[in-house]
Formats: sequence, C-alpha cells, structure tokens
Amino acid sequence: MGEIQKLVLVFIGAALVNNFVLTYFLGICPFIGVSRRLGDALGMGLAVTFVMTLTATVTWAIYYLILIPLHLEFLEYVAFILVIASLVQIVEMFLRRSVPGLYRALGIYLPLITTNCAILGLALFMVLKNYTFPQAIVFGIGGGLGFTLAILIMAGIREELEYADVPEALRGAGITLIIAGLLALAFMGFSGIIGG
Amino acid sequence: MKRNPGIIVDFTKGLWQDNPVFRQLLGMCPTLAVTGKALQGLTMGLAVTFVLVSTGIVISLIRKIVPRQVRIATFTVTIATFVTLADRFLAARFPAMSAALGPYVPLIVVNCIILGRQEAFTSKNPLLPSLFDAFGMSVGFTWALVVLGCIRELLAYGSIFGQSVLGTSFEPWVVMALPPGAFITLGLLIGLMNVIQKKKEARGKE
Amino acid sequence: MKNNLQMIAVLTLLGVASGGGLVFMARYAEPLIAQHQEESIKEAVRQVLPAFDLAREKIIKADGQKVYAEYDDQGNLVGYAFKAEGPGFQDKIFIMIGLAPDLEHLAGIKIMDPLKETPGLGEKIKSEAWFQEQFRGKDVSRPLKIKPERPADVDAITGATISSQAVTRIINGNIPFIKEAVKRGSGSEAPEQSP
Repeated sequence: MGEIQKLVLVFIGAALVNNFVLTYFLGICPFIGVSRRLGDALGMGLAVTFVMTLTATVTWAIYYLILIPLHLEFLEYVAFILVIASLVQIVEMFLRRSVPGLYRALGIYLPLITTNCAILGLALFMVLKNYTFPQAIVFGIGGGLGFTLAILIMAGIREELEYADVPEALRGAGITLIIAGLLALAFMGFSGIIGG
Repeated sequence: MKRNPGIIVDFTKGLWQDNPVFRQLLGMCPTLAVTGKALQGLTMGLAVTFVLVSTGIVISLIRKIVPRQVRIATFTVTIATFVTLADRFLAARFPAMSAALGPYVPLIVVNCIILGRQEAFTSKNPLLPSLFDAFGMSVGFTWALVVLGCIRELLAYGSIFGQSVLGTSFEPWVVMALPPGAFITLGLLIGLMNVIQKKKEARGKE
Repeated sequence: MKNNLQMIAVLTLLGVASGGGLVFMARYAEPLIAQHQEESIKEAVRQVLPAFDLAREKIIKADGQKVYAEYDDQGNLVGYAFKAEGPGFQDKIFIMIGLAPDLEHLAGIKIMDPLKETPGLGEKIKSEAWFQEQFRGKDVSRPLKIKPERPADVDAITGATISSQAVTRIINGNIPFIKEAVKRGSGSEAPEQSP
C-alpha cells in the first residue's frame, strides 16, 4: 500500500468509520450541549477540528521526541493534558490578538474544548495506533471533520425537532441520545470499507 | 426538595437527585463506551471512585495553600496522576480488563465529574464533607454504569456479569452491544429517570 | 511577590509528589505488564504448536520482527510461530500463526487479544472455536481459499464473513514473510535455552 493510500484510509477511518462521536463516544458533552443551532454547531465543529489538528501535531512530537527517548512514557497522561490545556490557552490568546474575526467566530467555544474528551482521546488513540507523523496529522483533521459532520447533522435534526411533539420526559438529552443512536446505526454502514 | 444539612446529605445527593449520569449528564463518554458488559461498567465505576476519592482527599487538604491562579492546573495534575496510577495498576493486575477498557481509563482525566466536583465542592469544603461528597458521587456514577451494563449485556449476550441468564434459545440483540444500543438505552433510561423524578416531586407537593 | 513564591512552591511540591508517585508505580507495574505480554505470546505459541513440551526456543529476527522457532526436549524442531497483524472489519486483528517444520502446512492459528471486531458478529472468529481449529494442518504452499471462493479450503462464519476473510488474507499475506525469514535466518543463532 502506498503512503498516500494509507493516509486516505486514516482519514476515512477517523472521519466516518470510527467517527469520534458516534463510535468512540468522545466529545459527547458538546455534542449534546452545543447542537441546538446549526451556526453554533458549525463554530464548535471548526474550533474542535482546529485544536485537534494542533494537538495531534504537538502531542506526537512530545510523545515520540521527548517521552520515548527519555523513557518517560508513564508521564504520558499528565503531559498530554497539560499540553492540551496550554495549547487551548495559547490558541485563544493568539486568535484574540491576531485574527479577531476568527476569534469572534470560535472564541466562545475554545474554553469548552480543554475538557472535551475528544481531544485527549485523539492523542491517546494516536499513540495506541502507532501512527507516523503525517498519519497523526491526517488523523487529527479527519477526527475533527468527523466530529463537525456528526454535530452538524444532529443540529439540523434538532432544529426540525422543535416542531415535533416529543414526550416530555425525553425532551433535551433523552431524545438527543436516541437520535444519536439512530445516527450511529447509519454510520455503521461505513464500517468495513477500509478492511476490503 | 428537602434540605436537611449534614454530611449524610453530602453522600446521598449523588445517589439520586444529583446523580452524575442520569441527572447532571456528566461523564457521558465512559458511560456509553464501556457499558457493553456489566463487569466493565463496574470496573470503570471503581476506577472513577478511586480517582474521585483520592483527588478529593488531596485537594481538600491542600486547598488553602493553593493560590487561585493555579487552582485548575493543580487539580488537573492531581487528577492525571491518580488516573495514571489506576491505569497502570489495572494493566499490571488485570491485563484483560485493561485491554477491554482501552483508552477509556486514561480518559477519566477529562471526565467532567472529577474536575466538576473539585471546583464545585471539594475546593470549598473540609476533608470529611468532601469525602462523603466524593463517595456519594462515585456510588451514584457506579450504579448508573452497572445498571446500563446489565441491561445491555442481558439483551446483547443473554447474560449478566458473564453468567448466562436467558439460556441458549435466546436470540441476542447484537445492536445492544454496539454504539447505537448504548445511545438508545441511555436515552430511554434518562427519560425513565425524569418520569420517576416527576412522580416523586408531585408526591412531595401533596 | 509572596503570592508568586507560594505559587512556585506549591507547583514544585505537587510536581515532585506526582512525579515520585508515578515513578514508584511505574517501577511496580512495568515489569508485570511486560511479563503479561510475554506470557500471552508464549501461551499463544504453545497453542498453535501443539507438542508435549516446548523446551527450547530460537528467535529469528527479520525486518525488526520476531519469528519463533520451537524445539522439543529432544532438540527436534516442532515448528515456527509468528504474530501477524492486519486490518479486519473494525480494527486490526492479531493472529499467532503456527507453521509446521516443512513450512508448507499450518500447525494452527490463534486469534489474539485485543480483538475489536463487532461484538456478536465479527467477534465470532474467536468465540466460535471451530473457525480457528479448521486451519490446523492446511496446506499453505499456495494461498488458502475461503468460501464463497471455490474450491474452498476453509469455511467463513455466517455474520462474520468479512472478519473471516480478513483472517485468511492476513495468513496468506504473512506466510511468504515467515518462509523468507526462516530461510535467511536459519543457523544464524544457536538454539537458546528458554527460561
């Protein structure tokens, strides 16, 4: 298999087959919390994609260039979470000063991202799957776009849902989870396309 | 809602009315991901219990000397440390379970329950109430995971905790072991909890 | 100023305590984890190369991977084993492949943990024992064929067709590597006493 082909497979795998939200259950909190309006969902999705790509780049470097050579693998989790937290802060400060337009669009979602398990999950899966540096970056982009796709679909459905007569007990989280289940069922149709 | 003070309430509120999973919708990732089998749910619950209680003890003891600016950093490092301890211990002692739970044990680091409790409770309260609060939340989280795990395992494999219940003639609902089963079961359970809570509140008013 | 000092002091203390705890845990856990991994490989080798006693083991290294050559207590070659991996339906599948000494027949295969195929469907390649059993003694001088290919050497599991095919493909894909490694590496290392 060529290198490019492998990258394409990593991308499809992260975005569709093993969708972060619908297969790995990562990033459920924003998926439920910020999926009421399409605009918010898009902002959140793009912010997550941005941070995921950065995280993949930086954590790969930290893990393979610092932790492994120094035999400090046991610091993996502590290092990753600190890196992610600082990264989010730096991105926020940088955007506020340099790209105010983008900051206005994504700014309010950034603080929520530190505790988004999809980001740490991305770093952990990257190590588990032994990705090379280019693969890790593609994994970050694919994972982020997959998250964006899932949250956009959900927001689209929920906007329509406002006119539906949902049983009172299921309103909010209940019906969102059930719809997520149906979406997960649909996304299962993608599994197997990289195996063949 | 009744408001009798004391550490008993610190404990019991986590079990039902502030249940982290069913009422506060916190810590959804592990709740959905590891409850394909009851035993996995129980193990995850115990791991979270260990982290929540240990972190609670440490944070409650050092809360007065930690400057405000580095509060979150302190919490995060403490949590990540205890999570690593739990994860390595599982890998060393229960390799099969550790492999089954995979990255969801390290993901306890970003479990909103842990950081949330430190922010909302432990950093403002002395040791004893903090301990009761941590235990209450942990037990509440664990029972939610075990209930979800039992339902899914029963329907997907016809067994509970690996013990066959429904016999060999039972045709397994494969979907319950898969992601859609997780989402739908939790959605329906949250609905059910809402109904029960409504009934309780209505009775309280009479 | 005082606040800054306090901040540094607290963070340093915390860092030292955390690092100390983690080092302590790593000292305790790492040997146990390494031991589990070694045991799981040993266990799998024993299952794919059925012999009364595997007394000696020679490790042939090729392209950074290990092929295990196993001998009984008389010094007779029992067979070769290799841990292969490849894409399944959901995720990677790991298979211990056992080859007979003639390198033309499978001694046995064992699907290893972690297996992340679909619970209740693809997972059957491990839980239904007959599937792995049927590979025993198969002629692998040419690639194995699995149903619906005809004439088929092995059966696929209903509901786990793709995973079954993946297993066959991984075996077919790795046999040439094992043969090559054994031919290139034979005689380069003396049989070593296994502990």
